[in-house]
Amino acid sequence: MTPEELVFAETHEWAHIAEQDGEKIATIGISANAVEALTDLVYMDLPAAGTAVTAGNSFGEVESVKATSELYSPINGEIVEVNTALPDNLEILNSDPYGEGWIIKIKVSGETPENLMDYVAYQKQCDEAH
Amino acid sequence: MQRARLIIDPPSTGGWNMAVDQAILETADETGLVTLRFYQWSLPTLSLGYFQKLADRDRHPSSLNCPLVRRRTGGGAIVHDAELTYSLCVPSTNRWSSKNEELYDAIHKIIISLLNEDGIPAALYRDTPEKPKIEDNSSGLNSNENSPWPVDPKSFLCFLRRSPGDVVIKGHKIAGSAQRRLKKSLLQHGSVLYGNSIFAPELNGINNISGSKYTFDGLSSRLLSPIEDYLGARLDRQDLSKREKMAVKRVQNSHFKNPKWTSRS
Repeated sequence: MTPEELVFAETHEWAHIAEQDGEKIATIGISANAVEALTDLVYMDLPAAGTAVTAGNSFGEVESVKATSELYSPINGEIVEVNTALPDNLEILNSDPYGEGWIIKIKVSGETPENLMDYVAYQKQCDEAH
Repeated sequence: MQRARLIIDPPSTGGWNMAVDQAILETADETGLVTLRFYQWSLPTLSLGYFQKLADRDRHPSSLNCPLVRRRTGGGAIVHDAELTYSLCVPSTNRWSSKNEELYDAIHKIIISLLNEDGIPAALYRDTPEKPKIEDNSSGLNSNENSPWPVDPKSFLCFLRRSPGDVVIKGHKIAGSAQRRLKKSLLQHGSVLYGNSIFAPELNGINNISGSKYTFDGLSSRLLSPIEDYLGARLDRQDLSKREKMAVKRVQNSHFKNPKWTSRS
């Protein structure tokens, strides 16, 4: 996937929403900007499939050498798949943050939150933060 | 001048101490309140890093009889005994920003300045010109007994690991910190070893390295003013809010006193 195909949360997670077997499935990851800032990533803690998630609330944690940070869901729904290979291969986040570096897939419930941004708006947010 | 909150707690249990830090962080994430807290431990306590395995505790027999708590921050295990423990909660608009790491340096440089004023050659680890090897005895320290090296990044104990921003004296790590970052705030907590512990005899505190006599009260009172200067805020001594006290109870039950949390891996 290219970042132009995704929507982004203010908290730097991305989502790709697609129809699958009549359900809306959102694939969730963290942006290349976030990954770049996460020097020396060492651990990732992910939830189990079946866990309910709420937009804006934490669904996992990531640890770099000196900090643990929450991962926030951009979407409401239920986790249907977890990239279980990722915690043991965190370098994938660097090499392919918008593809193999996906983190969870969510069966979407309700409408997509309105505060998600397209890539242009997200990049603007990142540029303004510097 | 801006106002910020200072909390100085009497010695307490690991579960309570960690729950208070969590409650303060949650408040900061909602209100932006800056809080500096100094605290102690009612019993020498082993805290595991967030991602450490409980079974790894067996790798460190000296601390097996200590009460156990798991932190919300990462890194290696810490034996909290003859130390000053601090936490500092500040607003942070971007949890991924490398600017957050400036806080490590700020607090650690304040600790270094204090020690340097007293003639103790403390420095950031990255500024240490030579990293002694295990067979290197040129520092005058006995590398066989109480040796600060070798430095193993996978050591069970945090104080046997080294990060560039750690505070060291003659190779011994005497202060280190870790952060937990939420959406709008971060908590940095850390330990300053001023003495030795029979539960971690391989480590040396400031007093044992330098022959000084630092205490919790002495260190904390001297750190206040430079931290106020750094924050650009006056620190007013206060207690937890009623809401935070309720949060402490909740978080203790859900996490820090909960065996499921402690044994997670």
